[in-house]
Amino acid sequence: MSNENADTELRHLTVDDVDDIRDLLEAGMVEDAEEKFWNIASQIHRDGIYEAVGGLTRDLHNAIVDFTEDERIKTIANEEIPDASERLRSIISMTDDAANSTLDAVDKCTPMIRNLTSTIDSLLPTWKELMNGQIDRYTFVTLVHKVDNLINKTQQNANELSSQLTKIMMAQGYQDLTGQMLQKVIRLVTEVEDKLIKFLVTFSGESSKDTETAMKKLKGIEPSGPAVGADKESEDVASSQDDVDDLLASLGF
Amino acid sequence: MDKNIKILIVDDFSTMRRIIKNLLRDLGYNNTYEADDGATALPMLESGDFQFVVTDWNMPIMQGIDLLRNIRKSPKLHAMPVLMVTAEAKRDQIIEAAKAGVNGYIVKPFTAATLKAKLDKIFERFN
Repeated sequence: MSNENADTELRHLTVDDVDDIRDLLEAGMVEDAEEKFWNIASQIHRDGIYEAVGGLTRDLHNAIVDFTEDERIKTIANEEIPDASERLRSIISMTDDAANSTLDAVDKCTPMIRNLTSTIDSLLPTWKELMNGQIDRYTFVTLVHKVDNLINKTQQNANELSSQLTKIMMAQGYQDLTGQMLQKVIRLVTEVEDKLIKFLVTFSGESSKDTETAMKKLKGIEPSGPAVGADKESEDVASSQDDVDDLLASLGF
Repeated sequence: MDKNIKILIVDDFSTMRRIIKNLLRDLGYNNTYEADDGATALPMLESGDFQFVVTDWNMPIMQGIDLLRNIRKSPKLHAMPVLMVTAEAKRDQIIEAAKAGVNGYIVKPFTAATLKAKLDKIFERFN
């Protein structure tokens, strides 16, 4: 585009040029005025401005082409951003499950503790009589039966409490699993940020040495954190501990 | 199995280390130690008298699979039983771990019963 008028002799804008255009405009010949203006514009000194604009346009064009044809960008846009969204949704669901399992366990433990407290409270006055040696035989026998009930009940409750505490503890595994998912999303966001910065650097005309981040493409055995969404259904992924056991058994384990 | 065996738990998430430590304690194994990745674990194993390793796969610096390979290569540690407890569930990964010589493979999230079953199986074999 910059060489189109190379043969035309270059000159400066004159008062006559302006007068000619004004005459045409005053005569209502707007189109002729505009044609005259562009003719003159093509003849006057450009001081490299067309070349500069041309260069900038080329750079912008190249940057956009590079950006849109970058295979990583395509993978990021088509696969990894949707995957990241899926991971973030899974995180909400996993934290929700963990919170609910914990609260369910607390709901089961609370009545047991309340019962224990109220049983002990009801036994205490008679127990104190016994400790002070002021108890009659009938009250003593009743107390012994009540204490026996308490011991049996407490033994059952202790087992149940222990099982609920294990549930609460296991529910905390979400921190590790969601943490791995978040780390993957953070890596993606950082890479996109890096690509955008490079794009902006190219666009702003600053020298940008190609410092492509060596993002390793996920291959067969590289860790990818917990499987989410469609990956879970994939035949490449074991969907349960039973699947893992079957696979290992088929390998002679 | 001697409940006093010295066990190293390797995971980069402290919550998961605590969970495994507590589960092992519930099963009677109290002699447990922790490391937050393979690079920290390996020197501990080389210089200590550990008898069992429970490791995650996905960790910074040295991953669990590389820790396992290093254990199998080490003249001192090569026979050490290794249980992998990980979120990595791709078939290729499980096969790779089996090839590298893993003794048990548990996918997260897991249950206390699964851990117990795998430990029993591993220890039964080693006895």
